[in-house]
Amino acid sequence: MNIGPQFGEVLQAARDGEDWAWSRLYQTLAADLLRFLTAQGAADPEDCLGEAFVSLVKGLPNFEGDERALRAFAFTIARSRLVDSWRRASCRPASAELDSAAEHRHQSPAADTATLASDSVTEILETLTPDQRSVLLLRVLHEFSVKETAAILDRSEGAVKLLQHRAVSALRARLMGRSPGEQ
Amino acid sequence: MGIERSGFDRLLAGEVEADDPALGRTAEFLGQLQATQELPSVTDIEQQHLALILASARPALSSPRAQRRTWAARHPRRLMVGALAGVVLGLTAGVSVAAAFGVNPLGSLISLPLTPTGSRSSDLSDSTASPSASSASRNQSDPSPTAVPTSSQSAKPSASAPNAEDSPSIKDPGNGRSHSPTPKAKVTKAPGQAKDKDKVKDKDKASGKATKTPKAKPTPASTKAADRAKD
Repeated sequence: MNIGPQFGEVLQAARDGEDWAWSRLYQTLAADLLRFLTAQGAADPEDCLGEAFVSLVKGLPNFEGDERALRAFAFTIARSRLVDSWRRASCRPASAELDSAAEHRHQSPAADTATLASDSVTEILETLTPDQRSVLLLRVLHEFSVKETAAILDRSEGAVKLLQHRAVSALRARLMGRSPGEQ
Repeated sequence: MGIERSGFDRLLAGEVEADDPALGRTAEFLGQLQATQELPSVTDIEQQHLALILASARPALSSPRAQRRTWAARHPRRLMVGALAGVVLGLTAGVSVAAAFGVNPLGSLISLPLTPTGSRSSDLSDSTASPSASSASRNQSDPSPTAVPTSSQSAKPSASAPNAEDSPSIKDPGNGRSHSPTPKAKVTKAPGQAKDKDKVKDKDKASGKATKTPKAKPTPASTKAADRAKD
């Protein structure tokens, strides 16, 4: 969901504390951010989302840029809150957390084939490291460029390209070891 | 690197060579990833989060500091011009004031006393730290303003140091006021001291020998006044 040409007006109104503007920004950004936080194995993705928006409120007066830049800015903040939640849990996301995240993500009724496919996708994603998974999700799902991904993850563009290459290589190796029917 | 950015983009688009089945499967997996990762619903938490957002937005945006920051962010050129104008005005005012007093501003800047004021403050702190010690030292060095009136002392009766020591805020700590050893206590406001000086001057005037006669002998009246001042 995009705001479009009204973005400047919405941004200014949000800076002025208007309810409707924040509601619009929330509806535009929240679902994407929640999906990212859930897929990254946040302990409580909804709490992380709320904290990310509170941080966005504090950072918005210093923000300058267009809608795409605001989206990247929001993901940067969400990633910081995610790292905070990892630190609070004193460990990196584990497989069990990803399993629970997958259950949370698919609470809505879906076709059995789709559920099986997503479970398979989640299972394959678990074989990647958290950084490789972050790069893959940001590049594939959220369609960020290498530069934007590097800014969100606070890494260099070269490091992002390397992580992306390793993620694809790991996927290739994993998928070659499986029969086509398992996918 | 094996897969460049354009290669990754082609992989995302599913455009892979037919002779590499592994890359074909990877591209298929990435397409499946996009299809299966649905957007979660946020309607049940939207109101709660919006209340949280607005509660934190109102104080953050209404604080004067945030308003100044937003104003400065919106008008950086005005801020810079204003700062420059302020500096120029300040310099002009300083130079004109110095010129009005007939002082070379650069010379006065160079001749500013740059010595630390620690020695003076240490003297003050010594004199104000303990009233008994200061009174003892006063008895040794300068017994009383009226005790040894010389020709120079009659013209300038007593230095300011004894007055500082005799100030009520230092010598009378039990009067309900705070006993603060501040340099303000050196102001010559001791009533008994002033009375003594007036008496000495009156006596000088009455005798007509203002400077040369040692008439400031410790008389009973003057000693009583000095005791009152001490108390």
